[in-house]
Amino acid sequence: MRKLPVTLLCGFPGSGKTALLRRLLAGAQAGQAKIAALVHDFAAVGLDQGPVARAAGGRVALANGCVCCAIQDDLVVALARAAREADAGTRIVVECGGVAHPASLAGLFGHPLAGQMLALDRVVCMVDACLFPDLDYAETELAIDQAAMADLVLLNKADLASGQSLEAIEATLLGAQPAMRIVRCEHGCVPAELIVGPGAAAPLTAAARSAARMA
Amino acid sequence: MAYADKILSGGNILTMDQARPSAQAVAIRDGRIVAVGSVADVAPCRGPGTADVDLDGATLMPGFVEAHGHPFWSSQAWGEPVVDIRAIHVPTYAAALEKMKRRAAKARDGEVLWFLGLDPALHQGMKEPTREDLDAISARNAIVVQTSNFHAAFINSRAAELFGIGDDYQAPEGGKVFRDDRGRPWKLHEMAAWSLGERFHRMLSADCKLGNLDEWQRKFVRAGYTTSSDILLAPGTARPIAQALARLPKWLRIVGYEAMAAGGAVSVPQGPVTDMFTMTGVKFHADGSVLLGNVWTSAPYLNNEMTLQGMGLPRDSTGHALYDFDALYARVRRYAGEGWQVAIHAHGDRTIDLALDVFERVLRECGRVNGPFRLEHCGLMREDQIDRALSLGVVASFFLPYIYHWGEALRDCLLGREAAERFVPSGSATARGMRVSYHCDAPMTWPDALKCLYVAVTRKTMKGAVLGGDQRVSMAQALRALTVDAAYHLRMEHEIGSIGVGKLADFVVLGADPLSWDPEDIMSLPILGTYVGGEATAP
Repeated sequence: MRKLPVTLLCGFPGSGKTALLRRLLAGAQAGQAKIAALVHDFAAVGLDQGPVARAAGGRVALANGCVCCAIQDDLVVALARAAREADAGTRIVVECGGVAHPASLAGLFGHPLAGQMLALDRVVCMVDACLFPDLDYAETELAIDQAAMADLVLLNKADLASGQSLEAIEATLLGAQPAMRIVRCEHGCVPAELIVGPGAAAPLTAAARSAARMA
Repeated sequence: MAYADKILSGGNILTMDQARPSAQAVAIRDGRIVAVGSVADVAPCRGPGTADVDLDGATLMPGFVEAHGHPFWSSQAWGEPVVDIRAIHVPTYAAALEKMKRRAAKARDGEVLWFLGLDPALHQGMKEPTREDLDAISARNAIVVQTSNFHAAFINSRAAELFGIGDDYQAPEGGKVFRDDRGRPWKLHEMAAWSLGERFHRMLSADCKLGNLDEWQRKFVRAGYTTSSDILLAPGTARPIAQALARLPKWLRIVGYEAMAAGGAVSVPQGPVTDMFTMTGVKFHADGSVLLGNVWTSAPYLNNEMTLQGMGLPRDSTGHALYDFDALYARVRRYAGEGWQVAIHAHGDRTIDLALDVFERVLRECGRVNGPFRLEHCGLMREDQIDRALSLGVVASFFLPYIYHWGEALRDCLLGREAAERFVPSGSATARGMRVSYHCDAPMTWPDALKCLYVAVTRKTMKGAVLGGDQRVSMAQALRALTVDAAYHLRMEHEIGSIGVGKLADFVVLGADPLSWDPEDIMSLPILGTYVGGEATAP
């Protein structure tokens, strides 16, 4: 069986994950990539604006076969269910809780329930250019850990920070992971292809899986 | 007759008892197994108050046994407020320095900053941090940077001042100090580094320390362990550690060994200190760490940037032992004579020769000892040494996750392909009939029984390379090394390690039978929980 590809979307609360997801879903309804989104709070995604059909069990079905599923207590169960129910060609996008360490989530893909049907191939991290400089030590390190394990870092709200401040954030992030790929953006506007387009098995994600056993 | 408190059935029971390898049900009373066998076999134990536990198709096994672990030291080493800079999270040396700078920038006055995880073999671009390098990170706060193998620590000037490590500093026995060209201590090895750690730990609050210990006990339990050794207890610490553990849930049995390098009496009598902590032996370090270059080998280390600059070794280094024969013999003779089991840390083959020479003479003189005598880690153990150990009744505990984490470094940078392929030769030892154990050596690597199984049956590294395919063993053989044979190493085989009548009801519950699970995927076998003394844990 061909495994469904998964994007993990992480980043601090307020960094713009939900706005990005909303745009991806809007694009999906317009006929782009087929997506099943797993989010902590789908009310926030504002799905009621589109042609949606509510189903039982905390699920929302969208036109074009997309589904939105609220993560309740067990992400593994939610992932396995999404994988069973999604059509071939669907990409699963998981919006992580804001302070989740991606290593712990990446570790879930080793779980037989999820791992047999899903292949995590991309971790995308959003960093809030306005908030980052004000984080305390522990928050800063968590934000950096999230970014360091991501295949792509979106430095969001770039329009609201000075060029000097953006450069300082980038220097800090690259100091932690010189191979980090950082894209500046505003309102989470990046080509959907970067988040949900075809991807290759990413070495950083494999590293994140190993790191999860040592966290 | 007395009825069982509970009966577990409805799953697959792997007993690890060769007389009855599998069973349908196990009955427990007062924390011990009172019956095991078919459903009909245990039925007579069922009384009005017996609770039935449905395994729901899961596999029940004896709880995993970590033959060589350091739960207390791990909690101390990795617990709050230590900063983790391991390469698995921070891949380059430059990135590690940046992490230290960020921490130093937020430090309060007087705070001691302790960084752990520097690794010449894994941090790209690693060089040993000098006094100047660390002073540049902070002149205000004391900084200690410890290597991931724990054997070395680097200090800045403020730390030297705070801990009284002046230019005239002398390292304690079992330790070593390195001075820079201005005569200032900048690098400490082994006991010198560890005594600094003890002092740092003493600065922490009791609540902080107990919280760290609680977290580490949970790490072992989540990995499926029900017993671990604590095999490098500082002299005099067995009782306070046993008492601290007694304040935590009873989820992990501990078998204690004190480090008696400095001589003196073991601080508690042999046997139970509390119901969860049993004192059984003593431990000596006859050499150091392969990653640090201070193990004693017959074949020299490779000469390259990592060994010469990253590790600071001389060319063609063959390392050294920490004892000569007389010094090690005197110690082993004394403690074995007092009835203690003796374990010797020995990685290099020449160190293993030394340890076997000592064991042989002590066995000849004492006749009978409280054995088995143990060799720990055994990275470069030769085939002839396996035979010699077998003939002496000496057992080897192999540090298998070494292959997983440092396999490529051993092969490409430290020892070369031939030595790396034979590193931790557990397959040879098993094939010759030795009862071996595997260990993760936390705090070196995290407690992970499934990772031990994975390396034993695949000999694969984290990146997927196979090192020494001829050292692979079957899953059935590997499981013995984590249960009944590890129990034998700890002198606990009469109590734990298999599911049999009279033994303690210590189990791990697995999502499926490891014998039929894909060995390549064994690390994703779900660990559903453990029972200790018949009670389910909740880590």
